[in-house]
Amino acid sequence: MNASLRSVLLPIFASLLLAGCSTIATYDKVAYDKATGAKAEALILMDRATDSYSAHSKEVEAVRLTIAKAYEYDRGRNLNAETVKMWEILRAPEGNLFGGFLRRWREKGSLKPDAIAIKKPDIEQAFDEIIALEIGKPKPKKD
Amino acid sequence: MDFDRILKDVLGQSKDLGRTLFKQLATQAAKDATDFLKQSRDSLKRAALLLAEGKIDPDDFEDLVRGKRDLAEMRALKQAGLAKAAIDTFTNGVLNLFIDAVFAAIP
Repeated sequence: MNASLRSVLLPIFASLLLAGCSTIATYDKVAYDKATGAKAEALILMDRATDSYSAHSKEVEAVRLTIAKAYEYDRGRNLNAETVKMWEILRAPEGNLFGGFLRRWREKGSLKPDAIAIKKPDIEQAFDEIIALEIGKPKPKKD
Repeated sequence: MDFDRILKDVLGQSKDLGRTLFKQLATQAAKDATDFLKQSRDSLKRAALLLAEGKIDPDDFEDLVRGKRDLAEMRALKQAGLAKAAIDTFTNGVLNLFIDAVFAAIP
């Protein structure tokens, strides 16, 4: 087999083989940016929870929307079940991470400074889990 | 083309690749679990103090405890995803070794 034929066949053969072997999505810069952006917005919003919820309801909706966009983006990717499930846990209003934090803020009207301070590292960590998995996904092949 | 030789070589290199990749994964997972337990212990200890001092409410404490469970679930999902990523990297690595070996053997 001559060199030029080999250079044509090798990428085709390799692509065909590799395409069928993935079990998880590859790293996606957009998903990473959305997750890190949502984290920053969520943590800033948490600091406002000593005030009344009604005074910040527009900001709450804006952050909810940012997170919803990140979630929907990840939901649209193939082989991305773990990340999607992580977003669902993080944003669930009936849960006890960021979604639950917003529910409790709304129900109680405002939260104590120490209650926010003790909760914040867990919310930060929850976002970090999503971000760490994105970073750990295989890097896409360059053409 | 000596396929037996090629397979033997690829198998040897695959073992090294697998050993490195999965050892890293296991080490990282163990460290992750240890860090989580330590952070949870410290956080719950501090929360219990704040509760005793009346600086947080009982429902704040309960929410914190339940949040640790949610966080543990998220960590497990992350580890499952990272394990899949390691498997993909390994599989693709072995295929690349095989492809390289076959094409290198073609005169």
